[in-house]
Amino acid sequence: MNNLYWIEILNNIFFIYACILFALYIFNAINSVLALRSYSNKNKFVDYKSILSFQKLPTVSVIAPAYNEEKTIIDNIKCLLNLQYQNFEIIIVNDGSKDNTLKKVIDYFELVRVNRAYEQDLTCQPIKAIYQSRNHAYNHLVVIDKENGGKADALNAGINVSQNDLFLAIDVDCIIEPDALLKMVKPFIDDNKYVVIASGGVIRIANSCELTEGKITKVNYPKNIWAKFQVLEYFRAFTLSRIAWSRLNGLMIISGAFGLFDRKRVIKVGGYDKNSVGEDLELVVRLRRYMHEVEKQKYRVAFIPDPLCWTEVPESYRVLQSQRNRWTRGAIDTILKHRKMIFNPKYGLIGIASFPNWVFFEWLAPLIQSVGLVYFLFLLFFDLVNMHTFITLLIFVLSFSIMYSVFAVFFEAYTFHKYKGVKYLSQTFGLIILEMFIYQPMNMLFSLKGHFDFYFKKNKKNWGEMTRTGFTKEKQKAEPTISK
Amino acid sequence: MKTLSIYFRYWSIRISFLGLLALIAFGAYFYSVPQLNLFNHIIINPLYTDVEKIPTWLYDVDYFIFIFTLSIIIIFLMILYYNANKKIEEKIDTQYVDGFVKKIFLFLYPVEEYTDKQKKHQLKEIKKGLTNDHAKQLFINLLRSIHAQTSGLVKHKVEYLMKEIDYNYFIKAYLHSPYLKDKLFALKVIGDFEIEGFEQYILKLTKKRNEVLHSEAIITLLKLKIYDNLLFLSELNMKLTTWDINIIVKTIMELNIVNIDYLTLINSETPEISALGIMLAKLKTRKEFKHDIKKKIGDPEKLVNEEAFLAFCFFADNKNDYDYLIKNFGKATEKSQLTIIYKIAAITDTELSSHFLNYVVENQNFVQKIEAIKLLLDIDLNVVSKYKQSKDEVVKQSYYQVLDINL
Repeated sequence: MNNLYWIEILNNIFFIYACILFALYIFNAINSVLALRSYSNKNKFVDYKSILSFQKLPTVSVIAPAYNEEKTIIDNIKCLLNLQYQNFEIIIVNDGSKDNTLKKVIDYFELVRVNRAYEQDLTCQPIKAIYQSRNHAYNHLVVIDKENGGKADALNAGINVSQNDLFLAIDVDCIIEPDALLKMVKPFIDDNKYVVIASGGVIRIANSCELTEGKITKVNYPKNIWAKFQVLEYFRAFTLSRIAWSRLNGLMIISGAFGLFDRKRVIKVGGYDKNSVGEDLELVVRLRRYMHEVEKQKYRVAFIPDPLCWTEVPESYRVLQSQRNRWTRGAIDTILKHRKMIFNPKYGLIGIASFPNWVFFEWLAPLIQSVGLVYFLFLLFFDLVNMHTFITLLIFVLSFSIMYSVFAVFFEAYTFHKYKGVKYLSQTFGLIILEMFIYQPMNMLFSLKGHFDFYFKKNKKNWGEMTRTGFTKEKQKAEPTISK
Repeated sequence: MKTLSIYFRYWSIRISFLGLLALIAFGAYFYSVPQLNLFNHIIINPLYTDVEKIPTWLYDVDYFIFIFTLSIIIIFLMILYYNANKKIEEKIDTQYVDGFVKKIFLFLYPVEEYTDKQKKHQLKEIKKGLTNDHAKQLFINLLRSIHAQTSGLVKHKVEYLMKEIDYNYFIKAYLHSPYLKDKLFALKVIGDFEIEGFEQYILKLTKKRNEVLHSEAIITLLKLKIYDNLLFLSELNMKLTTWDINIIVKTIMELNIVNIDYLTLINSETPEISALGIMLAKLKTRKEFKHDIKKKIGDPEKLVNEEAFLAFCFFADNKNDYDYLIKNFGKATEKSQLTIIYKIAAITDTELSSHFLNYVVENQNFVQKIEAIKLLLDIDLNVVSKYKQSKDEVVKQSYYQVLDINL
């Protein structure tokens, strides 16, 4: 009797957890529909090019750390040079590459070493040299050569050298839409109720896309199955989740691949945390904490639903595992570091909703899922499972998951419509089913491994492995590169 | 009539959605009872014999599975519909635009001037293609872009064409539509073609809380040139965004509006309006407001203070002004401090400027140090060389940057 009582309590805990999770998904979906509708209505007639002739506009530095990128660096920089903005500079930070990244850039863009002065506002590995071009066509290109210190360290070096109001932190291999800066800057100048401290944008998957002169010329659905799974995952994460949290001003993360920040505020909070592998999440949380604890002003983190940045995602099981493992370690690290914010009303919605959401549905989710699985097997073993109830609940979960993913696909088709064709649709629906039995359990395992590595392994700050395969038209055989 | 049909569509979508939610709730209830008495009609639940065998809370789970499955099918069909529809829409749009371009250019650039009868015929031909709202919107947008890109005779002809097709009823309906995008479209058209008769309503829209709407309404009023003294802005009593200020300045400069009541704007209690007035006075080189602008220096509002410094710097032309700028240098924002540095460096009194620039090199932030050293180079090379040995690392770095021939 006593055991059954405890089983009843455990059952209820799992049930309530699942109910909250489903309610949250539905809430996110409704919120993102409202947010996106409002965004598209408000911006339908906006002439972004008019920003180019504005009198009062923040200046921007685009900071892109590069480590062993010799295969693609020239195209990547060309892509950045296509950006449209009135007053901006591009800062490439060569983070102690062991290949010919720096030499290639120097040769192609006719760079010379210059005595550019800068203030050491943030700590970073020593800067060996700063280069600028002799060619006027590239006069807003700056290349920093520094000793290897990792992505966060490279970004800090870039922030030190930058002298502009805002900085756009990007992954150098990302393909940025030419009008991305115009769209990203808009929230900083069109809000009179809140101080905008950062803005993020939607990231799309560039695998198999066609690229010419640094621009995406044809959007293709990826050929690789892992990339296809991630397309679905990104639809849900960006279109249904981040947009929704941004509407509530509860967005906790701006992707490290693409985010615009207020430079002075980032310096005030101490820049990127070099000891974190989730430096993007950690910075946003720290900035938010700073706004609540120090400035105490009404502020917001903006999010642009337009797909402005295209990135390559892992195409192999090994690299994917490594990436997810790192994301998990980064999230745990940030949560533990800022744990005082959890359920703390002093931090507003972040403390009450966003942070607990991260704790319970990001950090603890894989642990709860695995405990649930073991618990279920235990019940099954002792014949304590009502099979009818189990099957009903299983069908409920599966039907909900399919509906949620199908809705994400619909939302993409309705709004941006980047992927087209019957083949894409039929493949996507097949993948939605397959995903539940292959990709999602796999992600859970990666995440569990991340937990294990964080708590028990010495090298918890390891970045792991990332490979670049290049784009369809300019495909080059890239060797695996290992970032520190 | 048109307005009514738009409102009908607006409310019918919302009511249908609420109806759907009510139907789902009703379905959930009906599913859990054996029968229902509805207006003396008894409706039997055929599934009840199965439902009663399961625990009560599983009713809802079963029901949600049904709803989710139904939703999957509906959403799937909607994806197919939207995919097909977008394809068709793109095709139709191309057809429409191609057809309109041909007809519009025939009208605008005739081989020989049309007689009135021929004109009427041409207009009839154009109107033939305008069978639905979408086509009308495409047509008007096309006219807008031709209007924006042309001037002189063709511009007049475009305006004439817009008048002749007589779409005021269409624009009016869109302006009063509950949809934001319709309102914005109407405001754009009214502004571009200077369509009169809607000023009072647009004036009301300038006071709306929706920032996009009020911003567009302000621009439309500017384009209509009815309230070109801009006094309506000082009556707005709401904060303008940097975006608003930029877009207002841009429109005023493009339209060359001259009747602005600068004094009222500069002295407005709303900081953004005051800053706008100062900016406009500077851009329109209205030096007579120099002293009114000077009074705004040191304003507690950062925006007003900055614009006042920038404008005063622009107008400063005598020793008193320069002394005033140097004396108040500490009150200026970083951006205006840089402008002051450039201004003082350019004056003929090299002793004053050299003294000031040396002060900047020794006391200000490193961006200003670099600029000051750069400017000092033109005034006194010997003074600059002393910074080579400076104990202040930033000053030394700045010196090397300035002297780098590659920069």
